[in-house]
Amino acid sequence: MEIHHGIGHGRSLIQWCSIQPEIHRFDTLFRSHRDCFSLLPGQLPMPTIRTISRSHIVFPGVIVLTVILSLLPTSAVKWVGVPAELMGFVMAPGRLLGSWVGEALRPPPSQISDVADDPEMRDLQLEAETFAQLYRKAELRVQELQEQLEQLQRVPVEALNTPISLMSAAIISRNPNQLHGPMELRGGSLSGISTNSFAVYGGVHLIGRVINVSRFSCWLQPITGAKPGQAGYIRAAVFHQDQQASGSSGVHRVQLQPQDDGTFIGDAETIWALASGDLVVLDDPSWPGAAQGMIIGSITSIQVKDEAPLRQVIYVTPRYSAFQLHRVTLLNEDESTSGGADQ
Amino acid sequence: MRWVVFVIFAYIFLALETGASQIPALNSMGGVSPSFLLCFVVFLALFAPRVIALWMFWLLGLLVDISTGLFREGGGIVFIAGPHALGYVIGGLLLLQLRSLVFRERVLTIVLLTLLCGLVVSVVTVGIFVVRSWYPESLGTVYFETSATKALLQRFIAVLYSALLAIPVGWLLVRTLPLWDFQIARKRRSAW
Repeated sequence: MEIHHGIGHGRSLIQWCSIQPEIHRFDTLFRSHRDCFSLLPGQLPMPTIRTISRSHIVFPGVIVLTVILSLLPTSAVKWVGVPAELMGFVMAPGRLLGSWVGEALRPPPSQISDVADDPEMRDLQLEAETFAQLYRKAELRVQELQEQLEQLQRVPVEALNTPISLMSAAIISRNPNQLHGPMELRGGSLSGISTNSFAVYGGVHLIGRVINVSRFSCWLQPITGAKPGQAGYIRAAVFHQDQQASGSSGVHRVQLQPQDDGTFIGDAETIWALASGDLVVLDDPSWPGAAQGMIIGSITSIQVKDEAPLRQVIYVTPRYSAFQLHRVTLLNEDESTSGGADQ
Repeated sequence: MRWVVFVIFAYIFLALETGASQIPALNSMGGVSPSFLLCFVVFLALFAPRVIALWMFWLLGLLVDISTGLFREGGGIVFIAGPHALGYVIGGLLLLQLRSLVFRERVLTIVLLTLLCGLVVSVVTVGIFVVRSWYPESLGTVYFETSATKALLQRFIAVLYSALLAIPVGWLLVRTLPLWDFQIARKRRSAW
């Protein structure tokens, strides 16, 4: 009997020794993950103990890789565009819905603010602005031809009406930390969009330029966005609001630089007699030909330079900025006939 | 925890973050817009299991990184993966340390932690971009519209706005706790 009792004790002792490592391991994990084990009686822990111990090894490694990835040179992270494109494709429905809700809750500024609700008047106003843009574009072209003729150069005749395709595109994604940063538009290469495309609003107001195209979406860089180096300058032309009243004629060319508040500054000569309200249009050969003459904005203030009294600083404010809008019109110029896309 | 619920909520908040950020934007203050995703991250930090929460912070931050492109000189756009992922992880780690000291179901807690997490995320993200801007790369990338200081200030204002937004959003999220089935042995009530 004593032997049986002793064997029974021995078996218990062996069983107790065999489960000790498990008890110790469980106790260690329990102490380090108290929150995970705040359970009601009978509930299973989530995640499992094996998952927790594996995450302790994997997660720090992932963080180290993320640090390395975030510090890699830009040229080494171009491949991130692939998952970004996939992400854009997956998120597009949700973002589009957000854009629609935004358009309903916060409608964009009216394209025609100084006309009554009469639809006929509104159409006439739009037509008038379109013809005005064609006129300005033609006048720029006339002046360019006159200059070249004077130098006895042979210039190919450009068609005033360059073949273009139009597409209305919704702005589906923005960088919430960069007001004038790149924006994603719905519509990509399958819709005929290319890096030769640009965006307008109200038919003639230049909004930005397409800088990246994927199959289903494209990225637009607003003209008000800061760009590094020489790419940040936009060549423009100033048309006097009232040429007769100002006593000045002709078109004056300026170089504009975007500011952080969505306006532009440029240098002008005092003798040009520019005034607030004068229209500033695009005259930049690096842009597509169809974009020439599109309105950038109007002069809102002029300041004389103290260090150079014969020169002035002009401040140009666009009528519409990309961050106010939910939808723009993309114009894609036929590359075989483009005359101004010279990068 | 129900992963399906997380995927649905993550999709919604990411869509709000990048697709509807202009709705509450303050155009008069340079277009400052609050971060919906920040409120969601704080909610996860308060209630999700610790290890899973860290993975979710990392994933959400990475998705924000590949959703927001930066302009690159010479044309084109570039996506920098990592800054927001690290920012959310570090901010989330801080919240995970604090959550045992606060009343998790209180909306005021969510507001204050949104403010704290947002500041951390802003500093980390801008810091990484500042380091990247020192690279002698041939083609410049526009990390900041103006300067790092102004960008940081703008982000701080956005964080304050996000903290205000956390009042209704946090209240709504706490009401959805039964959907998540977090392993918390406490009575759930949203209160001040």
